[in-house]
Amino acid sequence: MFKSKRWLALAVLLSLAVAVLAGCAAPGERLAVKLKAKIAVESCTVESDDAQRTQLTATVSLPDYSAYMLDCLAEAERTAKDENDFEEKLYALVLDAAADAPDSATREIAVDLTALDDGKAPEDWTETELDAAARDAAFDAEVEEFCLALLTETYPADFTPEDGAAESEASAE
Amino acid sequence: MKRIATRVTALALSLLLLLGALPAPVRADEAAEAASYRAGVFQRYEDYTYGANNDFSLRNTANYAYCAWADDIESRSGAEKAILWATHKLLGKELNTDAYINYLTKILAMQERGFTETLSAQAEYTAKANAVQQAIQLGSVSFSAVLDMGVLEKAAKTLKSLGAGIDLFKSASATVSNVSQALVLLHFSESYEQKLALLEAIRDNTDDKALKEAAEALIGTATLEFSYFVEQFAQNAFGDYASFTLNLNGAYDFSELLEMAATELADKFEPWAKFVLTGGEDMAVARLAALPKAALYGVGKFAAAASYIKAGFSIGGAVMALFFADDVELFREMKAMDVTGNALSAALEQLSDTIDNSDGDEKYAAIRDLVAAGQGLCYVRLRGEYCAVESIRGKAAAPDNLDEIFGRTTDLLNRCHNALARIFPEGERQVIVTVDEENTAEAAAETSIARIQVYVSDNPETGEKITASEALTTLYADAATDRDNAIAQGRRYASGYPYDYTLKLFDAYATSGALSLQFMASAYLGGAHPMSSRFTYTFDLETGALLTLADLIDDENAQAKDSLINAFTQALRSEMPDLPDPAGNIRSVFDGTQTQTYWYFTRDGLAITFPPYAIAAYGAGYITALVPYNALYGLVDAAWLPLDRSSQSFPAACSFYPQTEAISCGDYTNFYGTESAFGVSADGDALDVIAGEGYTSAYSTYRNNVLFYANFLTASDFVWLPEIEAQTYIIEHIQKVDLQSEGTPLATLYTVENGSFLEETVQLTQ
Repeated sequence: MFKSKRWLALAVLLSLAVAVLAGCAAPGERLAVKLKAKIAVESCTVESDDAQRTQLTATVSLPDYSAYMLDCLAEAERTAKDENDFEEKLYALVLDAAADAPDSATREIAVDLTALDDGKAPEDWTETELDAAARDAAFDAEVEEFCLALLTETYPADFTPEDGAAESEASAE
Repeated sequence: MKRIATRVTALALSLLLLLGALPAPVRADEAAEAASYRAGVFQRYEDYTYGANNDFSLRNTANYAYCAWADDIESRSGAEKAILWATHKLLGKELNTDAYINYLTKILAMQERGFTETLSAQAEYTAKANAVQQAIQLGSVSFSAVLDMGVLEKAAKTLKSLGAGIDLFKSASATVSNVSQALVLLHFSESYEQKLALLEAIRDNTDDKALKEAAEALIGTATLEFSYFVEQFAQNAFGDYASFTLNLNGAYDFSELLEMAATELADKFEPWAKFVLTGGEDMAVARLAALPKAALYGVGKFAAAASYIKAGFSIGGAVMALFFADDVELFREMKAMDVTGNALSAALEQLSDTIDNSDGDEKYAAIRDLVAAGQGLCYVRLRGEYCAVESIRGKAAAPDNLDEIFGRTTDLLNRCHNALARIFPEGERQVIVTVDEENTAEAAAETSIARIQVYVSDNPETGEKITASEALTTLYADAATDRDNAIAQGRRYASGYPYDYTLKLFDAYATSGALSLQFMASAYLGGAHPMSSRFTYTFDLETGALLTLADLIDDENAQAKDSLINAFTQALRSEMPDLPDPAGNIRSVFDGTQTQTYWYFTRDGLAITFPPYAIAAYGAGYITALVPYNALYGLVDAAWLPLDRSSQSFPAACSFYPQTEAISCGDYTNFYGTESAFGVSADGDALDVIAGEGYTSAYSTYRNNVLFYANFLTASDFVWLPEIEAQTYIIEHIQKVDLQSEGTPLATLYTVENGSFLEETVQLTQ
């Protein structure tokens, strides 16, 4: 009897801790969860390859987040206080922009499940876990596409190598 | 000159293999040879440091776009929140220990291939320093007598920290029975040491935790690899050991050895490493502690990279495409290469200080570490730059000259890499002969006198000595007298056809120890035809002295002189069957007044050419007896013969360049000859390059003279050609693609027109 009460108390504490931690999660992360929730997993397959690695392949449909991010970039950059705030502003704007929009992009994604949990056999992955992994991967791919567009602009297109035979060593590392 | 050093190594190995297999006198001078070699390394390091500033070019981040990009990213302020966020989102994620292990493994794989000749030289040095040959002559010796004990102790300590169940010292008590086996063992040891040098340089000079951990893990992996080879060697487990060593016998070089080692790695190393780390079935890989687990991850990457080693690649170009990377990965790797490059640059600076403040073994070890770290930095830079170029390719922001920028960078890195590579192997002697012509022209007489300049790479004083030798000075003085006479005679007697006088360099060829030069003087002083005469000189490339045929004889063969005279006599007899006393004719060149003339080395062998009237009627012309090189072994001292190039390839092409292109677009560090309107260069290592005035008609095409000669050219060399009235140049060289082939002579005719030129491949008339 005492034992079951103790378990109950522990369960309540754990629930509270989870709730607190969820509340403390970065605002950007909470918004990312909402954005991921709009991603629909249409199909998924789990297979093991020759090297005994478990791979998930899935087809998902989702709003074209990377395009929305580009559309909202200027506004987020203008209003954000810092880097973290930029993420929050950007995700919030994208969430608004994509609120009523139909899914306009389909992605094929692949996830290395062994990298996520190398002790887990293919059959041990639940449908919920696979859906979450697929959504995470799809959202990451959208973010990656957007970031890549930004980073490409940072390449020093006007780069001119210095003369290698320069005498001064002042700028050597 | 990597191939050349490889060839020297292959030759040395084959010689040592023979010595190991056959009874031979004990050599007591190994220590002296080692000391002499080490002094050479110190000198070449000085040349590297105070030479063409390659060290600065390599370290200077302003030469590399990816460094500029990384600096720019790091300098972004909080005001540029979007870029900052995108950078951290993309590059921070997954730039972890495993990612760095991946990157560093690629660098190690590239370095292992590019470091081949340096390793060979180091292995030979250690063999000499440890008096391995002498010890083996006295009986079998243990691995630990061949290998450096410090290395074994270091490896054992690392194995202990990994918890690997392997006793390295037990394996090291096994014996080696011949020098070739010892050299293979030393090769693995040197390879291990250079990997340690690179990884320790990174580990000890970076603040990046993930990179530090990756370097530490790969030190474990490299130690496992070294231990694997030592253990397999001890157990004589290389099933094909016979062919393994047999392949060293001249036909193959260390590149092939590396490939064989790579096959071993790919097939057997990974399961072995897993076994020694986990104790067989007792422990799952997942339960390994962090460092052994990461080291084992590195083992898998080593094995995968082995396929790249097997595929074969060189710095720049196709190598990069072997490692596919997506767009995000390109940016991430640029960042990783920048962090790694910073660590290596800092290490180079420290190592330079250590070298400057040490001597003996410590200095040698520090130079070895500097070369390993420096060449590693070359590959890091190359990899970073490749990622920079590919990240922008096809995008709107891409500059038009993207490939040109990358080309310039790969050229620069090649130069830096080769400069470092030259510190350890003793490079092949390069001999270049350039020509300046002194011409006069008037209605009554036209004259031309060619004067040469000789460059000897390892001994510039010898080149100057030959250039100013009494033989050549006398030749020029006599030519000047004859020229003045031709002008005076022409002014007095010429009518219709002008008189003329020409002294030209007719042919040139350098063996490993000698330079043969043939001049031809031709004078027309009226009459039916001009008169000509040849002057042949062969110089010692060590001392600059003029050689006689007797100097060439192999002292260890008492019959050498008679055998050589017989060989020439037979050659002369087959050329002129009706000569009454061919043996006497040949003997006169050995013992008579023509001991310093008539004979010369050519591409095909040793030749004696008798002028008209010397041994036959004028109409018989010049008569040549040629003994091919394969018939000269044992008769002529090997020091005078050409190098055995059976393990080398010379695939490069030679090109003709106008002055403007050469100066603005080239990346040359060595210029030869007097600056002029045109010059010649090679896009790699080119063998036996010779340029001259071209003559072509409906019936024949030939080279009329020599305007420059080089026993080989590298991509760093540019040779100016003297300007000639005919405006047609022929450039010949040997293209040798297959290791075993003799190579194919290629000739191109360049016709200058209005500052530009036409190019045509030609077959020269024999």
